[in-house]
Amino acid sequence: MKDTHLPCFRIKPDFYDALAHHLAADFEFWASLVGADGLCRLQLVASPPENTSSGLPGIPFKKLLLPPAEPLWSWDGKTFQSPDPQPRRAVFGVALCDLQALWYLDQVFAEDPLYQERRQHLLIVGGPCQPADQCRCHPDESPLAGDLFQTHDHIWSLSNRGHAVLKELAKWLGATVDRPLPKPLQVPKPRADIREPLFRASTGSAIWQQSSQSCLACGVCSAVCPTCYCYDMIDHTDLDGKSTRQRVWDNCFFSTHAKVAGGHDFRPDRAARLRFRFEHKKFGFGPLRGRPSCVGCGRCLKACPVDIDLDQIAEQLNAGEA
Amino acid sequence: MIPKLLKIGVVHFAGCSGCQLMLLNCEAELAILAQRVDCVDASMITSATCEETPFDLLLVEGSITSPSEQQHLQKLRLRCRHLVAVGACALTGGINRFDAPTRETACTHVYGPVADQIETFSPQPVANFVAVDACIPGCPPEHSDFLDFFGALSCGVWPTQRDAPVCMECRTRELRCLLEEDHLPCLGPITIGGCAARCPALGIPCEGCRGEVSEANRDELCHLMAKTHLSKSELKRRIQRFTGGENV
Amino acid sequence: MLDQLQPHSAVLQAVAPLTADDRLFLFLSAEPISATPGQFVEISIPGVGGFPVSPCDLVKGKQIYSCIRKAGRVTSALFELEVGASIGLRGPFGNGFDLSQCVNRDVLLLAGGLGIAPLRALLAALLKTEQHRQLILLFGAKTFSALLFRDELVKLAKAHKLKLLLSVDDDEGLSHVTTDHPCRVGLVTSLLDELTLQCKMTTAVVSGPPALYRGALEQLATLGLPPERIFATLERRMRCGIGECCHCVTGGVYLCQEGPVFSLEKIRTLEGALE
Repeated sequence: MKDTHLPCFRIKPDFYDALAHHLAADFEFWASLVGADGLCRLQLVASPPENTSSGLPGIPFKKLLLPPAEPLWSWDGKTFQSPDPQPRRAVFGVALCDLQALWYLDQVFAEDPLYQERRQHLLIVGGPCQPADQCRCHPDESPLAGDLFQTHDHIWSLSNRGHAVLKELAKWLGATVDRPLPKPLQVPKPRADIREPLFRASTGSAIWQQSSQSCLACGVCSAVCPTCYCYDMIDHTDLDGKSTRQRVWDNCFFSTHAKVAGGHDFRPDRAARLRFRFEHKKFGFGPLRGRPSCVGCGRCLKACPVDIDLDQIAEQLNAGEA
Repeated sequence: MIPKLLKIGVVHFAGCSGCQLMLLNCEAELAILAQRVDCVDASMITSATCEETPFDLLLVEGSITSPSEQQHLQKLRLRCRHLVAVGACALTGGINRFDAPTRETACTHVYGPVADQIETFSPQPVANFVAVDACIPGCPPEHSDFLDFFGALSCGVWPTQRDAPVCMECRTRELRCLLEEDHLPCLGPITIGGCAARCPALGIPCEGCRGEVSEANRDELCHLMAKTHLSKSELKRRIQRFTGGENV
Repeated sequence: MLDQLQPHSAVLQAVAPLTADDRLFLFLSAEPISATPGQFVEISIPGVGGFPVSPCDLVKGKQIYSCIRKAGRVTSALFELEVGASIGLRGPFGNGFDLSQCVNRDVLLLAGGLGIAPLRALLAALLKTEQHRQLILLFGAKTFSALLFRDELVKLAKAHKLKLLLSVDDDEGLSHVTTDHPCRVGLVTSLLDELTLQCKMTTAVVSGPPALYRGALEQLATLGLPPERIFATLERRMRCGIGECCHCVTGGVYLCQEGPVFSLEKIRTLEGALE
């Protein structure tokens, strides 16, 4: 978003009440809250919070677009049926890194009917964040997605949908001027990037084996990652005879990830799986190749029980230490 | 796809009968389940017994602890088309097997001077004696395990064998990590999920009752659990509790 | 293209045994479907699961022929289904073979085991248009009975539509078979010795398990075939078919979309493609 100026309005007192009132008829409200156990979760709230800088939720808001277990279709013995329509949700206080992640998922799932339906039902309101120790974001990196971006005294329009909402609330808006989004005050350390040829040349490096030795294959890294989207599909049948296929979050360290019927495993050990995850996060897959999918939110670093750090691997490769 | 009425039985060996109870506790589904299966022999479910008739499906709970149980199991195997091991005791020996290192002392303590006349052996998994067609894990299994099982059966298959750990489910439920945050000896990383992290959700570290994932990294988990207050031997026993393995 | 995630209804219309573990299935889709040779579809058995498979013949209207091996939970369930059973069908997915590469060239097909299935569809497409020069099929399997579709291939050879060379890994029982066509004992790639290829004018397509294409592709290049005209269909865990679920990704590429058919030239750039 470097130097990208976006339409920004000064807001008048009671703007947030008016916004809440305007959205309440159509939307559930979701925001990040810190629970009694100290964990920050994105959850259903009664009204949109004015102060949204509660930190990053442990599980990013991809859970609203790609739920951990989501029905793809059901079968009653005769026909395939689509899942029920999704509620409309307005999500508040989404940090810049997660808005970048949203843009990324939007590209991957551009043709996915279920994602797109959920996406159309989401109104996303960004907000300022407080960088934590493990943050490695690139707040200037574009592009990002979302509809609005709010601070205590200003609101930005990021999309046509956001623009339409503000149009309805013109009474509570002051002067408009195009200006960049506010950036986090201090980001401890930027994400470490690496050039692809260097990565390619490291196929035989011991670093993959060494760095993956401690991996528990617990799956947490992909669960907390805002741009990890790999999924498996599992069928269930209830006793009434109705079958449902669910897509469920998968993880590239799981033993079944690259194994085909008959038993051949195309990524048979943790070293190959770590290299696969590294490749996805640093270079992306398919049409998005060449752009890191990692937005530097630092969640995997915080959540990994054995502290596997993709940036540290990148730094070691860059320094020629591996 | 719905097959004919299946004749099923539930047989109980050394264990607490909790697995059978869990099946009975699927109260909302029992009526419809009763239309799918004919339960011809199950100590907690029917007073009927069937000494000779064949079973389409026999659910076996509990571990095998004596030559007479072994013979009984082997006879039952000849009478059933499919045999399903249900619960940790049947699958690995379960917590019964925890007696292994101190067996003789324990026998003497319980039976006194006649201990050596009691014909028992260290609790064994069902699969050590007979062919097992399918498994339902857990101590006890979840309702969803039984419902998925009978649902899959109605499609002519056993349920999908999962290999994703409890940790994954724990995180997707956004629970506090007991291992990381509270230094509790949680076995979530190496235990097969399917329980929706039932214990961690209650603040209780995973005991590993659903068995180990196929590529469990025990060494690293032991290393991590060094931060807990447990000694090395306690950690080892903890990992062995439900897996029954000596090779920790 | 049918719906991306939700299958269309289809019916299992006919089944014919090929070997102990392989059967030829005919599915009748509720909707017309067009799949080119080398593309794949997903067969779903509701409540059980789905698996990818390449049609083994030209897809005509609503009819799809597939040769399927009983290899896992879902294919085993398929083998239990009765004719008339309802199933689901998604696809087609992937790129398929580029038929234009065969025009005015010699075409060398190299199949191992079940790898004959997509090549049989390709063969049908080639014989339909007749724009190729010589057509050669090297086909190897573990045993004689695993040489799927052998009778019809031999018939094509006798009609001079095809030069056919057969091999088996295991000669057990071979001597008892009264065979109307020679069959060598050895690896299918050893049949290359019997050929004199006009390498610059030849397009090769390899289909079979990783153990086959791992060696065969470079062997063909060594013979002098240009790497941009040596093709292989790669096996991977295909799940979604639409470039999302990540299981099939190899060298950063979604095999289910950009593949599964690649030239050796491309394969050399895909890390781990031959593993």
